[in-house]
Amino acid sequence: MATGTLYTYPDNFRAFKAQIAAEYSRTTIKLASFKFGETNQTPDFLSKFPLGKVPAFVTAGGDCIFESNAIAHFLGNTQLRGKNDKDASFILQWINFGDNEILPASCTWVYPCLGIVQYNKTETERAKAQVKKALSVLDNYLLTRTYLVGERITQADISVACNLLSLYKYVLDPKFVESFTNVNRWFKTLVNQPQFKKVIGDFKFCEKMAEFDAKKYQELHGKADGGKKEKKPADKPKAQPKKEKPAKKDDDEDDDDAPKKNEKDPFAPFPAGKFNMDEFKREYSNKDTLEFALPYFWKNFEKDNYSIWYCEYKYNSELAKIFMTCNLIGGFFQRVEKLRKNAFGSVWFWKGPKLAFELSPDWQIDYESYEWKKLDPTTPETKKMVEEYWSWEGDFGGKKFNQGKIFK
Amino acid sequence: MNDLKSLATYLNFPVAKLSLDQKEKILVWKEKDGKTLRGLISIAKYLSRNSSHHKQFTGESIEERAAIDQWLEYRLNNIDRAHQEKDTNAFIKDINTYLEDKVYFVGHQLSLADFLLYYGLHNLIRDLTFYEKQKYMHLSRWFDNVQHAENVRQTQTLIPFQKNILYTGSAH
Repeated sequence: MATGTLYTYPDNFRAFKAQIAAEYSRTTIKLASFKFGETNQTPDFLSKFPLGKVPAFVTAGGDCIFESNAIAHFLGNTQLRGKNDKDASFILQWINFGDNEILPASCTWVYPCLGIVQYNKTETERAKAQVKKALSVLDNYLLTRTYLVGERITQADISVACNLLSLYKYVLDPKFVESFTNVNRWFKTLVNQPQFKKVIGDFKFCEKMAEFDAKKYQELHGKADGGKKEKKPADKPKAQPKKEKPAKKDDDEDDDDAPKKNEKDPFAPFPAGKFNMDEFKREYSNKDTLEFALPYFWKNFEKDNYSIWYCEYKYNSELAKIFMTCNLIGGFFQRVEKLRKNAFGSVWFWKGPKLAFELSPDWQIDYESYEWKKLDPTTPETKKMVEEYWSWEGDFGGKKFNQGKIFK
Repeated sequence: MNDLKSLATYLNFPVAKLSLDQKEKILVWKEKDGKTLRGLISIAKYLSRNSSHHKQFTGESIEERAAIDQWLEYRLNNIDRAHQEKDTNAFIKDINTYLEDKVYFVGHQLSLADFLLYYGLHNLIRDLTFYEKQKYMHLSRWFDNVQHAENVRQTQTLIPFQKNILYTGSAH
């Protein structure tokens, strides 16, 4: 009989797939005492599971299995795996459907609500549409069927339901799912099976769609950074006290102008000026930088209304890989999306004499991870820097150039 | 008679204790000590409550047990006594709507209600056309699920259902 030890952190929907399978096959498995970030980083664990990820499973015979679906397969029985090749194929089909069509969209939609990642409206809306599409497919299929494959519960039901758990828990409020009667019926029946209940407990359905939780995000990430900093003594402890202060400050600001916060343009206090940002961006995007955009910029730039800034990421040692840098910058651009009308950058400039990020708490999430240096628009050094960074050509003060991204 | 025989088998009771009172046309369950029970519902309840079968079958809570009783009564009053087509149509529609958001009649597992309704509806559903089966999709889905439990169906014939939508434009 299949048995062994399962490694997972508590309340892990991936581990649930395997744990519920074990309930159905009446397999007793041992849960290893596990501390996320420690147990899975020990040399012993990594020698068995080089990815350092959970759930992970060591069989009684000493075999090591990773990937939740594989562990669930091992712990299941013939009913769960499919009685014949055809059933088994359909079961696999739905397991993959859950992982590919539901899970990515689910994470994109739910994680910002838990403060795990930053909110991006476009992404969230796209995820919502994807979830809706996947649910429609499921709903049509379940109109004529009680369970996904055959007339009894299989691993297909277990795995797909586990992938839907956080959606139904946090964001699928009654209104959103009212048209998906068949999926609702199927899901409700599953989470109320004794084998499910033993693993996931009493399931509570979402009553009101959760939204992005900015405070929680800052809390979580403030903490996470703090944790990292303790481990790496180098230059980080210095950054921490700085980080706390503005967070408090923006809370105060929130209270002061909370009622009109939504309509207020953070750049409103500054004079409109004559510099046409859109015009300049068109110039930059459509024409040669050196020949047209730069001359246009210096000709029209108003040094009283706008300021130029150079920024450097404080923790360059963390950016070992180019893709990490890319992600970092992509993420940063996303977070300051609303600056777009009034700012441009790689060497940045924007309206107003001060750091634009201080104008809105929405932009403050990580600007402090960067060193911002105000440049004097009249000096030749600034001109050279602007030219190099905008045209992606030059010696960049000795830095090697890999690829360029422009916020425009 | 057939349904109680199957129920006794399902719950591991000797079928021999069941007989039909020819004069009064009523089912009788006779225990060794001479005690007797009469009538479908009382015998069904007696058997299920005395069995060691999982407790969901008879209802876990007072509410669930009451809901099961309600469906047993429903079978007696509405299904067994329906003689005209308009009575039949009325309760089929009723049940179909009821099952839209449920997999089983009561709770989240097969119960005595499903068991006796399956037997009570078998002949009627056997005679439905594919068009009607699709029209009463929720009822069909429930029936097909229940009949695939071999220990429930026992000797009843397996009724074919289509999992694909055959007729477009019909309301379901």
